[in-house]
Amino acid sequence: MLNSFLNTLVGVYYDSGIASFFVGEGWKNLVMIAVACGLFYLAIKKGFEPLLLLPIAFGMLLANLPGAGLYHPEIWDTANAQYWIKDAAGFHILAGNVLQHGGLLDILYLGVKLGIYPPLIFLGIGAMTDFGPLIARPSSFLMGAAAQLGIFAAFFGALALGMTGPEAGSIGIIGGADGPTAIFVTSKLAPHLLGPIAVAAYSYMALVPLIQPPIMRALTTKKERLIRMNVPRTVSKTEKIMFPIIITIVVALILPDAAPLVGMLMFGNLLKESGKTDRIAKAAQNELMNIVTIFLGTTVGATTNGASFLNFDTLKIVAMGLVAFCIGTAGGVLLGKLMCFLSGGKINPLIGSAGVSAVPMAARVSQKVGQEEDPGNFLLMHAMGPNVSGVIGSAVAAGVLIKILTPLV
Amino acid sequence: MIENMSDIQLGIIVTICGLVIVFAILAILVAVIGASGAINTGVANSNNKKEKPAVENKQAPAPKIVKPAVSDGIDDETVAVITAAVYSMYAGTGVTPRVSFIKSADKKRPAWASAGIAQNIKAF
Repeated sequence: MLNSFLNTLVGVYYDSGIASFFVGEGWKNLVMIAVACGLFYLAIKKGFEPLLLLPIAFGMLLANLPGAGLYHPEIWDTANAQYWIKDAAGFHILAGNVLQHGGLLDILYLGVKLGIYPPLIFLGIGAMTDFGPLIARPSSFLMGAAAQLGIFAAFFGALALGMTGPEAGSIGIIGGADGPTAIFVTSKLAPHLLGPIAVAAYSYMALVPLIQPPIMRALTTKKERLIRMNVPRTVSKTEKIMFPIIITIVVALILPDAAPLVGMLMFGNLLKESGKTDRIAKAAQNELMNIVTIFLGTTVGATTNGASFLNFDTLKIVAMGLVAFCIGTAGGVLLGKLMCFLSGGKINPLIGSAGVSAVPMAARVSQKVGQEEDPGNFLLMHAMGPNVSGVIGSAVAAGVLIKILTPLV
Repeated sequence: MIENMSDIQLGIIVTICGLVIVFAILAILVAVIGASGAINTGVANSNNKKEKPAVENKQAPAPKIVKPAVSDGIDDETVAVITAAVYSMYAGTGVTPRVSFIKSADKKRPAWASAGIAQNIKAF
């Protein structure tokens, strides 16, 4: 009887998650749990993008608890014929099998794999965004374009470090400073890198106030930083209603791969600006946004198992992500200087750095650096133009990368 | 064709194509939004010019002010505030409202609760 009791206890121990830490590569799960705790600290104590980083960290924790059965990495391996088929268009997930055999996070992860969550997040972002400063000064679009230079510079750098084309595209998009866009592109081009790229993207977005100011000061003169800009013209209601319709038509016709992100962004904005759909605009920016944020963050975090996160590729992603941010900031500021020169000194180059689409953090950084020189210089609303144009610019860049690199997947 | 490129070729092609396409699309948007803004501003200016004589005509007859019937316990300042709020709601619509009476609301339900109920039963 005693033997049976002891055998039962031993059996319980060997079936537990604790024993799994000491079998094979189980120690990596333990390390990932520690990483998740570190991200909890950053999100809660330091306030690093907590709305996304906290769900990502908790998804990471849930996926690295052995035996919990919430997430199965083997389901998302395209070599697994039980869940994937391949045809001329590429790999396709057999969603029915995932629904039957997958855990909770596997089922929720379908929203990422099928490209549903990021466009819905963009719907909410569009419903919260005022494009008035951009409409009043359309030249801000060009600063949003210049800030995407970081994406392609990081792409080049990632290729040089030995990453494949699709992997390099996924790493480069970190430079767009847009979490949903980074997740959308990575889920299509390099889903095995989704976890580290999402963590890197949101961590760097939180570090924008630290990364950007030294670059902005280095590339501008004191005289340029002191420039006070004229008040932009008033934008009519009609223009604000026409804007999302025009943008959707133009961008989707030229680059259909950008349509999911840009289209949903503009749809959300039209719901807000029309004035007739107040209830659903509020739902888009509140309930829908919050629900999708929870699902997206948790499932993206769940993809960060030890094998995919604890390797040299993660260091490359972190390094290239920083390069992308720095070069994107520099690109926006340099174009701002060019526009300052061409306009006869009417445009403050500092607003160019806001072209990285970390809304509204990057615009606040422009305001702060400008006020260091002149406390009476209010650049915030001027910087919002390039800031929101960066959202559109990064979505267009995402469409370009998906279009060109999908054949290599 | 892209499958057979070396890393350097791929990097150059993607970088150049990507930057050209992003700048081209956003430059097109600058032109389109700028043109739409110019058209809208022009239309608004011409409407303002047409409306000016009409506004002058509308201003000629002054509206007859009728003091609303007020229930007990409501002071003149409150009446003035309520009347001003009603008039501001109709400002710019071409409709001149007339406040006929002002009476105290049912005090059994708190004002916030009433506002919440009104919002929830509002039609689509």
